[in-house]
Amino acid sequence: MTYRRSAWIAYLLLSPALLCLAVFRLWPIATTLLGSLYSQSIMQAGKDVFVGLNNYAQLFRDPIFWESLWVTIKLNLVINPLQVFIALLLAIMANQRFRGIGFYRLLFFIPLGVSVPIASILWRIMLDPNSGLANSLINLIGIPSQPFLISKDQALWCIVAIATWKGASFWMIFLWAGLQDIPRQLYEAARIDGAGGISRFFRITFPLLRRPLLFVLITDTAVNFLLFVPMFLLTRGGPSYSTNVLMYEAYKSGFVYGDMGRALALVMVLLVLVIATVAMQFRLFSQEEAN
Amino acid sequence: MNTSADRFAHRLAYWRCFCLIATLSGCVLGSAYAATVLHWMTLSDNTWPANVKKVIAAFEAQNPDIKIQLDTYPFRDLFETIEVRMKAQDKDVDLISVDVPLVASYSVRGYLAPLDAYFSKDQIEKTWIKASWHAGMYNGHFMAAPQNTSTQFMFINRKLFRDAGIEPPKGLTADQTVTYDQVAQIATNDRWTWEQVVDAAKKLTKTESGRTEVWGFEFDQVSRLYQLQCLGDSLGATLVGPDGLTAQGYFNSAGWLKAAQWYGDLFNKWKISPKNVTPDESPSLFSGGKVAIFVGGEWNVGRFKEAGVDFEVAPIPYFKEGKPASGTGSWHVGISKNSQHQAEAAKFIQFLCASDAGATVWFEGQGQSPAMIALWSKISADQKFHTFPDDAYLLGDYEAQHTAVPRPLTPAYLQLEDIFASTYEDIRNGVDPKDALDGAAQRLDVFFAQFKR
Repeated sequence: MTYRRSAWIAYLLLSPALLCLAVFRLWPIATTLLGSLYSQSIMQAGKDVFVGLNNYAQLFRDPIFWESLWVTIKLNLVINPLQVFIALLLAIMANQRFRGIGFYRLLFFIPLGVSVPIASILWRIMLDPNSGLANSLINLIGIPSQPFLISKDQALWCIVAIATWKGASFWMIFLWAGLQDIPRQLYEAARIDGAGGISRFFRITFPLLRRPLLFVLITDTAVNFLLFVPMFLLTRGGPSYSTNVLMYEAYKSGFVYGDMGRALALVMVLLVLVIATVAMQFRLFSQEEAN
Repeated sequence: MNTSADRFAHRLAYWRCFCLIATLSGCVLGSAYAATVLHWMTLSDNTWPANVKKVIAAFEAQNPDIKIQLDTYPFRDLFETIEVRMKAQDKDVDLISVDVPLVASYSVRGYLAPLDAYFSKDQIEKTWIKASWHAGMYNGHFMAAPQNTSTQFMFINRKLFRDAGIEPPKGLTADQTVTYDQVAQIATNDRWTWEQVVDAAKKLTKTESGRTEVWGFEFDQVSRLYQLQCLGDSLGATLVGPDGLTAQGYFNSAGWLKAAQWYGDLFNKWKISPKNVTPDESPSLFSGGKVAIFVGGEWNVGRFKEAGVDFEVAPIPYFKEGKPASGTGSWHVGISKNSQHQAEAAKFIQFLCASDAGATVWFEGQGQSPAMIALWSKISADQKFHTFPDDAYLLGDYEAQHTAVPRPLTPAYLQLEDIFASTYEDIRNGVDPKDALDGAAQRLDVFFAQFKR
């Protein structure tokens, strides 16, 4: 079979997947880009009119946009490393073999069984500043009651905590699967050679876990850039815009204010941001792999 | 000679003919009597859908050729769904429940079909009170018909007042009969000021080992424009400029700054109102005996009566240096511009909003202040409305005539309402009122600029 013929067969076999990619990924991106160049005209009974890059120009002049961008970046700078770190820690713990490990594994999996809306509502009740469980507990150890979700200094970090509680156990599964793929003989050989726990982690576990880690980091980043439900259910972007991430601002523009042009422009900015971050992560990991 | 197989074949043939005729007749009869189905996007909150269904049943009994199907959504979701479905030019939407300040916004964006062909000017003026039909107009066209209007009262928990040894304000109480003139007298001479409310609420707030067991005061629709507009109105301040598209100097005027400071102090300085309570939760605090003074809509009268609260109804307070002002306006019904059944939809609106039969069923079920003149005349004449708690409608009538101030008329009401709510929520949570109002006015003007192009 010639190379040319086998390439055609490969393309043919890939075509259903490529078609799905085009229909479900590229087409929506193209329509979003196109929609962001239009705006609703008040003078023409709400008709969409072509405005070119005007939606973007207005966005970049809008202080709310810059505030939202900063909140989004701040959230992602903290939540992504935190979730991956906790997921890795949980995966290593779940990978241990000793009596009663099944109970701990069950504990790690519990947040997975709770949907994000239900988790948000449960945490809202627990973080209630008037009668929540969290304040009752910290009062017991002499710390005064905290405002949590109604404070502009604490709300974002409460959302980070809630999303991490829910997300870390999910990402743990991928890392745990990666850990189970590492041959046990390597650890045994290293132990015979006198390698300690830390040395075994950095010289065996971490290098061989690189691919699952890269997958988790990239997917987690994409998911957290689009994090929306806790803001929608718990804070509505407040207090004082402290949790008003770009995704929530886009939702508000499109579905609350009816300004779809602005909403789509915001989504395009978010897309560029996610692509840039993921590309950077890819580059960093491939550089390390090459080294 | 027929064999049994032939007989079976004949029977089968007859049976097939019968089935065919029956099916065809069914189709013909079915198409002749097929009812037009209208889809109505409306609220799913509390008793609303159940009472709407009562009106629909009465309408369908009179009009068997029209069926109404409800698409119901919670308060906040309704506005978002309207945006999505109207932007998508959904032909399956015929009737829309329109919150009255959004008439301009929906009209300007081509969501609503004018009702001019179905309601003459004369009928409009003779059917509804002026404030209500006027709010349904845009650019000289009648865009949405008033389903009901609303008013605001101050509810007093008499037991909590007795326990604290405080004399409640003069109002409408059980076991008394009042006339409209007596109600007017109470509203004119005995109306409390907000300063009196704070003084009483401080004494009524009960704290035990660091936890507040009883709160002195609470608003019904916390931080919402509809609820709080009376504060600025009482001080003579408006939220937006006369063009409806200027916030700077209005949203953050001296009057609104004083109102915002007072609002923030309720939660942060005097600590007489609870934080982190949503508008859905606040009425249950009053009915559960956790709040002593509650300012909210007239639809709470029935709820509190049913809950067995020992309460009285008093006029909404005002600032000592200002004048009485109360919230008004409520739900209208409009026809979607994309509806394929506009004439049938108009027929239903005529029944629900403009006919004695439909409007009475709605009023008796839902209990919100009517927008129909004929119903107000009935209320004045009926002795039932001179005893507690139905005499609250007499107070509602007084407020509608003397203190009611409609919400701002602006095509950017969606933005105004959302930013108002988040700003006052911030103030409630301790943000400096001046910073909050200045920031919000700046943000609003950015949004308003889009409507000036």
